[in-house]
Amino acid sequence: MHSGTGRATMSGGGASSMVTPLLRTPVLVVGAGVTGCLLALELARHEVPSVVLERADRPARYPDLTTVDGRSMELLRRLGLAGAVRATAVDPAGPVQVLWSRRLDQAPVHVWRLPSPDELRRGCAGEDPPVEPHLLVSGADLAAALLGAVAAHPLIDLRTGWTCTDLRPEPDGTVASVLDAAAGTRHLIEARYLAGCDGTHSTVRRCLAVPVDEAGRAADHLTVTFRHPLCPKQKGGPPAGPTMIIAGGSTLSCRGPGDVWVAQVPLGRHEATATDPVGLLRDRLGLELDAPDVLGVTQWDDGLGVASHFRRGTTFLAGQSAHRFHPSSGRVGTCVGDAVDLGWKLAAAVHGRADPALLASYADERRQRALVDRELLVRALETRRRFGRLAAAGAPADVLAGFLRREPPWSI
Amino acid sequence: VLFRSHRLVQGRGARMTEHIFGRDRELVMIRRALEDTAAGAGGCRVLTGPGGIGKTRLLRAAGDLADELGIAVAAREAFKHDLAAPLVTLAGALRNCSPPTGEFRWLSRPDRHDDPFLLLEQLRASLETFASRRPLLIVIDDAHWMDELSALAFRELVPALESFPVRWIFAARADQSGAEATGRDTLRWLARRGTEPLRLDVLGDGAVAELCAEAIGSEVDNTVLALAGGCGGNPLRIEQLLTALHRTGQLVVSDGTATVVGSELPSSFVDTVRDILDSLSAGTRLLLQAGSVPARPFGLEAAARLMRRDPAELFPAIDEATAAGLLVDETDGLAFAHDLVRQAVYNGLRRSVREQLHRDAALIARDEHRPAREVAEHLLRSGRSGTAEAIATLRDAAAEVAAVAPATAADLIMHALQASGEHDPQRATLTAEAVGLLAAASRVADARRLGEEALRSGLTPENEAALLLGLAEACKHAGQNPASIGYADRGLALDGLSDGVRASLHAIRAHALVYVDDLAAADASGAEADRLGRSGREFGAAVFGGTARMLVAQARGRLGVAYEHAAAATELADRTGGAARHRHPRIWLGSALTSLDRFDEAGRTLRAGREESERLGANWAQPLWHYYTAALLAARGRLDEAAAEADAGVTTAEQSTAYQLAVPLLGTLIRLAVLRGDLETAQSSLARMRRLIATGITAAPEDVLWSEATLIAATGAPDEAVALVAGLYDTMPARPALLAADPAAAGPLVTLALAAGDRERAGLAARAARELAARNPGSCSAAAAAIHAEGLLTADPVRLRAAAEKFRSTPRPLALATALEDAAAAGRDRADPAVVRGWYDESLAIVTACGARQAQGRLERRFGPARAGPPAGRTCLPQLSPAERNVALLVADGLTNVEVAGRLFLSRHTVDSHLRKIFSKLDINRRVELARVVADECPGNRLTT
Repeated sequence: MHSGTGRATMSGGGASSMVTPLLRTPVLVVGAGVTGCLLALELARHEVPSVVLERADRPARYPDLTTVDGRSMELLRRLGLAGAVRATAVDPAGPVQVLWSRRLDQAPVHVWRLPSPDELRRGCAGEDPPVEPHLLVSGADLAAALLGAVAAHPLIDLRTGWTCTDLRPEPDGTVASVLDAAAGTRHLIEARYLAGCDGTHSTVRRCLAVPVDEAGRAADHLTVTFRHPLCPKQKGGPPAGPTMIIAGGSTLSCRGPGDVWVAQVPLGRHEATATDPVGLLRDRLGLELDAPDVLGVTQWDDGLGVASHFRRGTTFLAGQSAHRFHPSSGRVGTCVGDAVDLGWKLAAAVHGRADPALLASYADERRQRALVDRELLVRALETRRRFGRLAAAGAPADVLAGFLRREPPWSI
Repeated sequence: VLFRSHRLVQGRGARMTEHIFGRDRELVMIRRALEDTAAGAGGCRVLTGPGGIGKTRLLRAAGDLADELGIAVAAREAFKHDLAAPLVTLAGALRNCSPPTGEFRWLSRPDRHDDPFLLLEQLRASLETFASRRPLLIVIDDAHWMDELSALAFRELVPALESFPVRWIFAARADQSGAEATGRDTLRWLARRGTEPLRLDVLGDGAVAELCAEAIGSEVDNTVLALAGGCGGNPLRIEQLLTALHRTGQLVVSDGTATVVGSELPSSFVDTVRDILDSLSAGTRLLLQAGSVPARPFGLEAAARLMRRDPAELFPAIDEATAAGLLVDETDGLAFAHDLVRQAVYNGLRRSVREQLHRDAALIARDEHRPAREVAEHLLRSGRSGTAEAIATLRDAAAEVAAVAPATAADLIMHALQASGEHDPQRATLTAEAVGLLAAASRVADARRLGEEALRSGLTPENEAALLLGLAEACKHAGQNPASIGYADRGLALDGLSDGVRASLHAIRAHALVYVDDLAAADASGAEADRLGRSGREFGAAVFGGTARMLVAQARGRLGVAYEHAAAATELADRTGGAARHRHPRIWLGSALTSLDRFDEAGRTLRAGREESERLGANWAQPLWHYYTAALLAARGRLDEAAAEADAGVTTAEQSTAYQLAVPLLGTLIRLAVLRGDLETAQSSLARMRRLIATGITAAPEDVLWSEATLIAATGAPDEAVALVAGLYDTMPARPALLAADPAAAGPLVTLALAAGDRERAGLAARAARELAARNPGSCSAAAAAIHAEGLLTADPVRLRAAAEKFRSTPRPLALATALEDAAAAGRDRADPAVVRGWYDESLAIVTACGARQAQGRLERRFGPARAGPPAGRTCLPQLSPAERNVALLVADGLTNVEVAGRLFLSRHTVDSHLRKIFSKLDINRRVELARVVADECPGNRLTT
């Protein structure tokens, strides 16, 4: 019923259909976050064109601190993206401080100092420097950098402001219903393969009716982004570089002086609907904010769900639509791995060079990977929770420090 | 409008929904309950669940359903400020009764009682009258905010109105929070005694989809459902999310299907509300921000004052806010669609703006004559400058409600304490006030913690004494006697106290000492309290000291002296009035008269005392009246009535959380149940008593151990029973308290020890009885009991026969029956069989008439069934006791419980207790059914006494 404005109009889709398929593409990528962008770029590297749909037409509102581990950086380098990503890095010369405090207004009982990317690149303690050191970035900056690369790539047809609303499986592909919000028109896109990279509240996953298995009882959390001049009242005033503070059961992070803070705070068991972020930060962290200091609030649970299936027919789930580790994890490694793995395997399939088992291996291997990463994350979070419980029980500083020394430092 | 309607009202293109999704099970349960009520049954249900889950909407549906079924509806949505306004929760519901009725109009009258007891009585009478004409649904939403007096009323009325077609539904948040402790305790209490609370769970996927479609007014696709799936199945969050998406242009409806598009999807409730706010015009935003401050429905005038605008200018803003689904216009003003929405708006206010709004809100609340606590709340939130004024306001507020709602008053003072600085000169006084109020509210642990803290900080002797007195009273009321004595001693050790204060300390100390069995010290302190109280014109202390001395004398077995102390205390209280009268010495005078066999006077005294305490609103005294009335009725051999009294006493003690008084009453219930051959009730009462004792409550051994021993003996283990009360036997010559309260207990005590083969303890009991008789030459019962005990020891039928003859001249039929039975047993092989048979027949006739089924069974086993006596007049409903039958006939006649109580000179709690028994015996649960049974079985419908 809509006469499209698209580039590759075609006929088909059956006489009964009211909507004419508008586009046909080998791969339709739903969602242009880190996963979706990388997937499209990986496909393009293998000369496979794709259409990428992104509901948002603006970047995310607020930054959050994310670690891109060395392995991910290597994968990004393959795509020629390492430089662009490195340019977004937060203070590459500054080491990351992880301060463990009983309370925000007390001196930390223990500090982990993670070497800065620059230090790592120089190599330390006689070891060879890694090929790519890890980086600390703002998740929003990372996504923006990748989106820039996607927009500029001739093989990728990026459609921002387009929303995927439904899927229909076909014998040799998937037909997606999409809505172009600006024009207010609905279209169909026929794709041989479709990848749902549309995040935690994934529409694709819902269309596929794929359930999510959680790791345990989920506790509600609030992520609060806020401005505060002298946070925390730690000794020495505001942080000099990228800092993460773990105080009681909460986590605070900031990229450096003058930056906004991001706090992750568990809600009480019965507070299903939080209405007072200022009060929450006051009660849990002793922070005195005024309401306008609060820039944004996200409610989430730490159920750490993993989709029961990463694939249905020719449709795949990748990134946070397949595993909800964000924001507890603060890393993008699992997502980057998904995108690159799915990318080259799909490319091989599109080129007709793939054994059916190759595509099957994506779902098996990446789901396995997600489960392993989840296990690591559960342990890391358990360290934080135990620290919070010990601190709440009034354990003395040396006991707390001893406890943390026994934990591997990567378990943040 | 019965309820604040929680409607999803959207602007163009969307519509409001009143439908309920995913609650089929709950709706069926509610419908069934209401149909029962339409047919005459009562009942209570508590509905819980997190905020926004849909409780209110379900209640609203219940209201509509009730309306359809011809049930009147009285509903209120409680809110935070209810806490400070005694009875507002329940009175508010009843005043809004639909269809309107004049029955509850008196609640609005300025001259209504402010005494809680009288208020409750009148409330109950009104409800009974109303419900006997038309079934009634009472709905309290957000019941965790209920005020303290309403809480007390619910505890009394919910059980009391069980036999009426009154259906209660309470809804409350499931989360925990400190301020609403009273409400939560009451809800838990209601849930415990009724059916399981109905927990509203999160909505399932199907219900979420239906809700979304209904809210948007079109089909919804997976983008909507995927996002709504992140709202935890909470309908409020889903609806607000959809509203926000719609208003920010991120929800597109095309081709009849809604799709989420857009770039800035709100990811929390807070952001959702903020997005909606930002989508409104500046004036509307200001209206909502100002309106969030009063935390109650607000009027146009108040909003205009807060906004410093002309009221007429507000209409466009009101329209816009209503269209956006954030505000609703209801009978008592403008209100937020949900309090969580209000909170989100409020919490988003800049501090300086918020403080200014609170300053204005305080002035407005004052002008609108809101409760002082509400004013103080605003002052406290208006910045530093408001604190001093807030503290003064809180103190006024506490004084205002202290008599009616001590827990509320205590909270107010605690609030003031928190607000006052560390070095505030008022702190000492505030603390002393708080301790006294906490004690009055039975929050003894809190009182002690606070008091100890203050004592450590150093006080003037006067303040310290006042504080120590408060603590001593608190501990005494909680049954923590040693602690009470400790505080009193510390107070008395202070120098320079007035006679009045010393008298008060001595009076408390004396009562506490009675319970730790230091009778000499108790008597000395009682005498000091009496003397100093008279000289220092602290007559309440003098009266209370006198009653302690009465207890000492009674424990020592000096019945005449006990009477003299009680009589003197009563005379002083009557003469001086005021605080002295509030000590209710007639409680103990009634007991002393009972000991002296002066039953008619005892009955009159107890009734007059009870009426006086009801007039004065002394809730604390209610369990005591029931206790001593039960003792009197038991002595008179009216066991069923005695049990109903004791049962009612336990109920009143639990309702007013005076658990320390529930213990002796449960002891009474155990002994009565044993006598009535109802071991099941005895066991369950024992279990309840043990639970209370496990919380640290202490009570006299005569009430606790003796009751338990009676039960153990009845189960055929006399050795165990004697072992349990060995101490009681051993101290009995020095402390014959058990015999003084009930001289006829001597016989059973000796019999029990003999059955256990413990002749020595049997001898001790006999000696105690002998000495009691010697000390009280005027007491016929004591003399008879001494002979009875001696006769048992020597197995002498002649003596036992003599004891029986002596008991015959007392008003204690069961004592006579026991002596006759013992005489018959002892004389079985030695006396003329015909004579023995005569004793037996008489004993059996007495115990049968008294409802002493344990003895009846024992006699029949020993001597065979009764010979055909004179044909008993055929009574209807033979399964009921005479007292129960009278209640049943009056209720069947259409009298309400309050009217029955008046007619039979019983307390209304006793009538409730009888009626519960009647319903259980007849296996019915409605008054209409009772009326039918009576009509069928008692055509004449005559009272039997």
